[in-house]
Amino acid sequence: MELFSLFISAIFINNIILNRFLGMCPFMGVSRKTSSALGMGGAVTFVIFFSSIITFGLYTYILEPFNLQYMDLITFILIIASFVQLVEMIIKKFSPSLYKSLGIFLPLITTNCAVLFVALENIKQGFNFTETVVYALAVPIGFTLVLIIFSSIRERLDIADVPQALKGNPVAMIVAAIMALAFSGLAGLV
Amino acid sequence: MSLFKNLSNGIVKENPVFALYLGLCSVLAVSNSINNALGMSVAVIIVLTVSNVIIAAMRKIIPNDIRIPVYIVVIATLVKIVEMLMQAYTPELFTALGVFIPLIVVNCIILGRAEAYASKNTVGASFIDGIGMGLGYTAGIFMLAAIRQLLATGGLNLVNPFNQFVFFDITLIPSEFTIPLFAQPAGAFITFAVLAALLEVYKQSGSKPVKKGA
Amino acid sequence: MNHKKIIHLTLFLAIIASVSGGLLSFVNSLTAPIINENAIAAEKVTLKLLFPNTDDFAPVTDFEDETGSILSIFEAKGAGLAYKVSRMGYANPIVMMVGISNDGKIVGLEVLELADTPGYGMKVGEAPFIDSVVGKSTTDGLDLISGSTVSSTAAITAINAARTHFNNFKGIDDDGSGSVVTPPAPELGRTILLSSDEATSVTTTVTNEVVNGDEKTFTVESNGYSVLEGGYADAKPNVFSITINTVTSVIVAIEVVEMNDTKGIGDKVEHEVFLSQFIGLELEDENASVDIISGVTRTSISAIRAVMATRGK
Repeated sequence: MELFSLFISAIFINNIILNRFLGMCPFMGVSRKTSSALGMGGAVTFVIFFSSIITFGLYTYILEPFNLQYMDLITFILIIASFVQLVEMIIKKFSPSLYKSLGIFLPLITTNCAVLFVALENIKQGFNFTETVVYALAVPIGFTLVLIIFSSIRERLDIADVPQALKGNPVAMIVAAIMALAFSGLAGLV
Repeated sequence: MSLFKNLSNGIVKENPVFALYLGLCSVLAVSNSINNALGMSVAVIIVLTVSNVIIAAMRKIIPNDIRIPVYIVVIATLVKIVEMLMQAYTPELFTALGVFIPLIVVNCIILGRAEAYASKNTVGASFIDGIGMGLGYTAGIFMLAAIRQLLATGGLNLVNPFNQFVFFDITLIPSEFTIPLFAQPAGAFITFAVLAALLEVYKQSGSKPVKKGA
Repeated sequence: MNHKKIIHLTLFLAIIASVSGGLLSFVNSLTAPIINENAIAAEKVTLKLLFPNTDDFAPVTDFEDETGSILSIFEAKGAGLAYKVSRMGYANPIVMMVGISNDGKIVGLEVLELADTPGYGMKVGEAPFIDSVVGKSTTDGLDLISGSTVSSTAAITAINAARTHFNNFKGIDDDGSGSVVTPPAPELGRTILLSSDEATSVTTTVTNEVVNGDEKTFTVESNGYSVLEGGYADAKPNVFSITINTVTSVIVAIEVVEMNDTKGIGDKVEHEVFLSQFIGLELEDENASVDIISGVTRTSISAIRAVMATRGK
C-alpha cells in the first residue's frame, strides 16, 4: 500500500515537471510534436530507471561503507552521462528517424535535472531497493505523461492565433500553468 | 569596453533565463522568495565563474574526445564543494534550497558556457563571461522571485544567511489582498510567461529602448 | 583509436578525478564537524520546547523504523526521547517533533512543517489537536480531527511510529489499542422537533415488538438516505431497535441494528453524541427535540422517524 501511494504520488501529486519544475529543458524543447515527446519519454524512462538502480547500488555498497558519501555527486553524474551515451548509441542504430527528431536533446538527457534528482532523492529519502525501483519507474512515467499531454496541446497551439509577444515559449508556459493547476487538484489522492 | 559589452550581453540580450530558456528548473523552483533566489544566484555565479576559469585555463590540455566528462567532473566537484560549504555555514539557506543545490551540476547554463565559451576563450574573457551570465541568471530569477513573493505574501524580506541578520522586512500589500496562487507552481509558470512576453515586446520595439515595466 | 591514446585519455580522466576526490575529501574534513553540530543546533530550539528542564541532548543514530516516518531521534538525558517524524499529509509532508518522557507519556508535540488546506488540514497544527495528543501515554488511542481526516491520520501515523519505537526501546507492552484510532465525534447541526411533520412522516415499518413488563422493544425499519434519494442498486432501509416505557411513553434505549446508508457518513448516527439525545425524551411531549448530525440529515431523520413510529403503539 505504501509502495502504491509512493507510485501514485510520484506520478500525479509531486509530478516531476509541474510540481518540482525538473526536466524543464526537454519539456520546452521536445514538446512540439507528440511523437518526439513519446520518444523522449521512453529514453528518459530508460535512463532514470537503470541509472537509479546503479547509483543506489554504488551508494549503498561502495560509497557508504567507505565513508565516501561526498563523492556521490561526481559518481552519479558520470554514471548518468555514460548511460545517456549508451542510449544514444542504441537509438542511433535502431531508429535513425527518432534520433534525428530528438536531435540535440538526446545528449542533453545528461543535464536533465530529473535524472540526477531521482538518483539523489533515492538516497536522501532513505529508500530501500524496492522503493527505489518503484520511484525510479513512477517519476519518468509522470514525466512522459505530462510531456505527451503538453505536446498534444502545443500541436493545437501551432494553428491557434496567439498574440505576437506570447508566441512560442511564453504561451507554452501559460499552458503549463493551467496544467499545474489541474494537477494540483489531484493532491490528497493518496 | 568590449568587456562591458560582454557583461551586458549576458544580462539583457542573451539573458540565459528569459531569452535562452536555460536553467529553468532552478529558476522556477526557488523563485518563491528573494532570499532563496539570491542565495541560489550566488551559488550559481560562483560555480559558473570558477568552472569557466578552470576550463579556460585547461582548454589546451583537455583531450577533445573526453572534454565533456572532464567538464562534468570539474563542475560536479565545484558544486559539491559549494554544497558542503553552504550546509556548514548557511544551514537555513541550504535547507530552503534543498535538492536544487546539487542540481546546479545539471544546470544547462554552466555546461553550456563551458562548451560554448570557456573552451574557446582566454581565462580573463571566460571569467567575465561567467560573471555576466551569472548576473543575467540573477536578474531573471530575482525579478521572478520579487513578483511572486510580493503577490503571494504581500511583502519582501532579505536575511543574511550567515548570521540571520534581517536586512529588511516590509509589507506592501495587506494580507486580505494577497494571491497565494503565486507561491504555487502555477504562479511560477504564469509569472514567467508574462516576463518572457514582456522581454519579447521590448526586443521587438528595438527602436525605442524604453524598458517595459517588469 | 590506438592503445596509446586510450591510455592517455584514461590517465587524464584518472588524474582529474583524483584531484577532485582529494579536494572534496579536504573540504569534507573541514565542513563535516560543523555540519554535525548544525544538525543538533537546528533541533535544539525545538528540543528545548519539548524538554525545558534538560540541556543535554544527544542524537540517537542507530534506530530501526519500518514505517519510514522517523527522521531522527534525540535523547534528552534523564528526561526522555524526542522523535522527529514526517508523513505525507493532504498535499505536503507534515513534519513534527514528538517528545516522550521516560515514563511513557507524550510530553509535547511541535509541528515543524505543515502546509495543508487552511481550515481543514491545518487544524493538525492547532491547539485542540495538539492538546488531545499531549498527555496521552504511548499505548493510548488518539482522536482524528473531523473534516481533516487525511491530515490528522498522517499526523497520528507519524506519532504512532515514534510511540512504537519508544515502546520497543523501553520494552513497554503495547496491546495494540494505541493503534486503534477513534473516529471523531460528529458535529450536531439543526434541531428538529419530534412533533414536526419532518419527524413524523411515515417512511417506516415496525417489524417486531417484544414486551418486557412496562417496557416494549420495537424493531423499526426506516428509510434512510439510500432509499429516499434512490438510484442505489441495493438500497435498504436502516433498522433501529427502540425501547419505550409504555406507561410514561419515555424512550429508554435506542440502538442501530443495521446501517445501510453511506459508509463513513451515514454511520455517524451510531455515535453516542447523537443517540444519547433520545434517552429520557417523552414521545408525547410537543417540545421534545433532538439535534441532527450536520451533513448527515437524511440518516439522522430516519432515526427520528423510527422513534416516532413507535408512538401510540
